[in-house]
Amino acid sequence: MFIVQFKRGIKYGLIFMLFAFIMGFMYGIIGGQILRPTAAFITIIGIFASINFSFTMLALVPFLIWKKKRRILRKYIGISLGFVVVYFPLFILLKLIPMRIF
Amino acid sequence: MKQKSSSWNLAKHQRSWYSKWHTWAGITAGFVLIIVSLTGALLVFEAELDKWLYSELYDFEKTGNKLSYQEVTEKVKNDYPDLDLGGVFLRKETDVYTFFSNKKPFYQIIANPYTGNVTGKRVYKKTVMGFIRNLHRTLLIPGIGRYIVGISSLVCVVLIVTGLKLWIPDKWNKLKHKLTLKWSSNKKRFNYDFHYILGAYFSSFITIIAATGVMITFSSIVLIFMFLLNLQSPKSLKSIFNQKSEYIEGKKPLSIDSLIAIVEREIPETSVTGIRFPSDSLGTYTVNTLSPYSTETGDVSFIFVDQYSGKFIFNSHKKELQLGKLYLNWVTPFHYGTFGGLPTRITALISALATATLFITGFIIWIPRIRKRNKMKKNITY
Repeated sequence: MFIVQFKRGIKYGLIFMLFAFIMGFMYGIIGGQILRPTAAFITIIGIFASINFSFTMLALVPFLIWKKKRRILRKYIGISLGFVVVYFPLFILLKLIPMRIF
Repeated sequence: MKQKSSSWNLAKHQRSWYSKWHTWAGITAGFVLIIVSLTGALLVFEAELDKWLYSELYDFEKTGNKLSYQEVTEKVKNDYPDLDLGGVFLRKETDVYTFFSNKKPFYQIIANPYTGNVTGKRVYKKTVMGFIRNLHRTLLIPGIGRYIVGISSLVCVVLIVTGLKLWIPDKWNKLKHKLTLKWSSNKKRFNYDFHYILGAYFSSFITIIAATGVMITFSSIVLIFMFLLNLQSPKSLKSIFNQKSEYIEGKKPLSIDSLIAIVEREIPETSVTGIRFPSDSLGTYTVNTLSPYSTETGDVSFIFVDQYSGKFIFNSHKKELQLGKLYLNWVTPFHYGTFGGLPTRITALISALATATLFITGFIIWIPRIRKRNKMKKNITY
């Protein structure tokens, strides 16, 4: 169950990344540049994915007390973790790249 | 023969689920979004509109060399000795020295950069553009208003995601049909088509503008995460802005001219766009700088400088603060469309108007449906 949701999270994360790429690309092309606006918007979505994951962790607390409906929690954690797995390498990459992108 | 369904296709119950989310999210946040988008459209050209509305403040001869920050500050301090000046800005858009006071009602003083003469003193919130800005940011509700706006912007992102999911054609050969408007169709159909075609064309820009709006509203939370994702220990906004100078007894604070000289020496090719003065003997100078960058808005940085030694206490210009730079150089320029100059500003303006139009057309779609549902309920009851 958790693995299925986790895989779904990765899939959704990649779809969101694709859409963020298209959106950043389209806004960027009007401004006369592509790379930086695209990278900026993908990173912004990554930041939102990470914030969402921390909310998932907070959601653990009431569910630990309230033992019913844990299925929903597993689904939420699985999908959120999938998103983080997709976007976290991007932040590592930004840290390792020797040049300033933004 | 049974056709193989694509993962993009929605089952009937899924369509109904997305449709419900889209409708109720629109109804919940729609009224706020219509105010925020219309005021946002005006704010794209805030500086230009303010210059046009209050032309007397900007009406002076532009001859000779501009005076330095130090010279103008001294003149304004002499003219207004009772005002507790908080700082000064020299922005590219307005090209005047703009001072602000620390205490309520937060006066703004505008000074001619060539003579140092004050052209006007006003409370910005009470000006037309100040009122529009306040309405855009807080809906004129102190405290909670900005969070209502922020949450509504987040709902706007949900609206775009669910709207796009409903819009995506089940077969790719229907794409052309989903992107073109039939002018000959009846009013109801035309409104429906116009709603989803407008949404499809502007979804990219509306999503970026709404997402950056959320980041601006919830900046205190977002910045903590930015530090974490930068693989650094998290810092709150309060700790960043609450830097202290090392007090040296008997030593006078640096003059503004020497402060600028230090900053320009440390960061080559940079120009100072604003200075916030130290609030007390332990406070720091906050210097806003602008360096060349690929965007029209430039590379924005802020530096906290010890008022006695001139030492940099915090410098956002550092390479390791990649995500901090993302916030400074991209979030606001994305939101107002300023990063690419006039073309992106016009795009931001049209996108803001499109958001308001989407709400109106969506409402027109929803009204007959709700009437029909109510009628059906009545018939079942009797």
